Amino acid sequence: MQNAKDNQIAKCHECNLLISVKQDVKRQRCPRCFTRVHFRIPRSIQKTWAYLISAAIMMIPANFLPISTLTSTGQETPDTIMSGTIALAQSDNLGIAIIIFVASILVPLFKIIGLMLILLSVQNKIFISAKRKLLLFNAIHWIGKWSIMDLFVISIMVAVINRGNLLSVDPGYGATCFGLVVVLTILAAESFDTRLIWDLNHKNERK
Amino acid sequence: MSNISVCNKCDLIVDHIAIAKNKHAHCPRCNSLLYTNTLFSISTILALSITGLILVVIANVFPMFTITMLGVEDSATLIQGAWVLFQKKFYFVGLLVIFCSFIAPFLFLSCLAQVCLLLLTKRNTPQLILLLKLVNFFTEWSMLEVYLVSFLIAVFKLSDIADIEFQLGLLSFVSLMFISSLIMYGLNLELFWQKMEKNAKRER
Ligand SMILES: [Zn+2]
Repeated sequence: MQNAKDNQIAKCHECNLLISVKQDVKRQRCPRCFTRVHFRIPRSIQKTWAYLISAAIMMIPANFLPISTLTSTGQETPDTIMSGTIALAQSDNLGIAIIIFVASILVPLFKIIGLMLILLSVQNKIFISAKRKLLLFNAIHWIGKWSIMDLFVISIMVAVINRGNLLSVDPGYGATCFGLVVVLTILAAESFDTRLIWDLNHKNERK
Repeated sequence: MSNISVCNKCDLIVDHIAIAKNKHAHCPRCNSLLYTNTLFSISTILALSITGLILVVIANVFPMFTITMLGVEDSATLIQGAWVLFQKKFYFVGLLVIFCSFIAPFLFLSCLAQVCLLLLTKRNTPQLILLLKLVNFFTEWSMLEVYLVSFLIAVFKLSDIADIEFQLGLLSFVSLMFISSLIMYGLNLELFWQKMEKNAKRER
C-alpha cells in the first residue's frame, strides 16, 4: 500500500489535480487552479480542536437560554430547546418532538463527541480502528447539516405568527448560540483531514 | 500521471483503470469514491441549472402557503422567514438561515450555469477558476432538503392553531430541491476542470 505523500505526490484539494512535488511544498501552487499545494490540510488537528472546543462551550448557552418566546394575549412563555421538545411531546406531537430532539440535541452532541474521539485517536491517546474512524467521520459529515433544522422551523414560525399583542413568536438569544454551534461543528468537520487517520496506521505498521 | 489516481480520504495510490459508463470506482483500502465515468454532460448540467434558476424565482415570487388565523389571511414566501429575523435584530441567525436556504443554492446554480456557458462557448476567462471554486464551496452550504423538512414541521405545528393552504411557491420549491439533488448526484467537476485545461491549451 503506497501513500501519495510518501511518493512526493500531492493532490490539489480544490481541483483534485495530482502534482508531483519537487522539494519545497510551501512555495508550490497548483498549475491548474493556482491554489496552494499541501500534502495535508495545514494545522488540521489544531484547527479542528479549536472549533470543537468553541462549539462545546457554545452548547451551554444554546441549551439554557430560550430559543423562542411565545406571546399569547399578553402572556410570555419563553422556550429552551429542551422545554420546547417536552411541550411538543405533551401535546401529542411525539413524532415531531423526537425529530427535533434528535436534530437539535443528539446530533450536535454526537458531532462534538465523535470528532473529539477521532482526534484523540489520531493523536494516539485512545485506540479506534482506522475503518471505524472513517465511518464515524462520514456519519458526522453527512448528518452535519441536519442540526440546523430547528433554526429553520423558528424562522418560519416567527415570520408567520405575528398578530401583534394577541399572538406572536419571537426569537431568543439561545437561537444565536445554537446557530454558532451549528456553524462551528460544520467548520470543525471541514478542517479535519481524514488522511491523517491512515498516516497514523502507516506509522504504527512501521514500528 | 494519468495512469494513477489518489484517494481523497486516505491518500492511497491506485492504478487508474477505465470503467464503464455511469460506473463508480472505489478505494480498495477505505472504500471511498475514487472517480466516476461522467454521469451528466456539461450541456445537461447547463439545462438543469437554468431550470433550477427559473424555479428559484418562482419559489420566491409566489407564496409557499397561505395561513388563516384569528380571521386574518396571510401568506409567506421563502425569504420572508429570514427577513423577519433581520427586522427583529437577530442578524446572525437571519443571515445563517437566508444563506443556507436561499443564497447558497441560488449562487450554486448561477455559478454552475455560468461555468457551463463559458466552457461550452470555449471562452477561458480568468474568473472561470474562481467560479469553479465557488461551485465547490456552495454545495457544502446548500441545505434545501433540510429546509423542506423544517417547513413541513412548521406547517404541522401551525395546523393546530390555523388553517393552511399550500400554494404554487411550495411546488416549485420541491421541484427545485429535486433538480439540485439531481445535479449534485450527476455532477462530475473533474470533467469541468479537464475541459477548462483543454480550452486553455487551444488558446495558446
Ligand atoms: Zn481510500
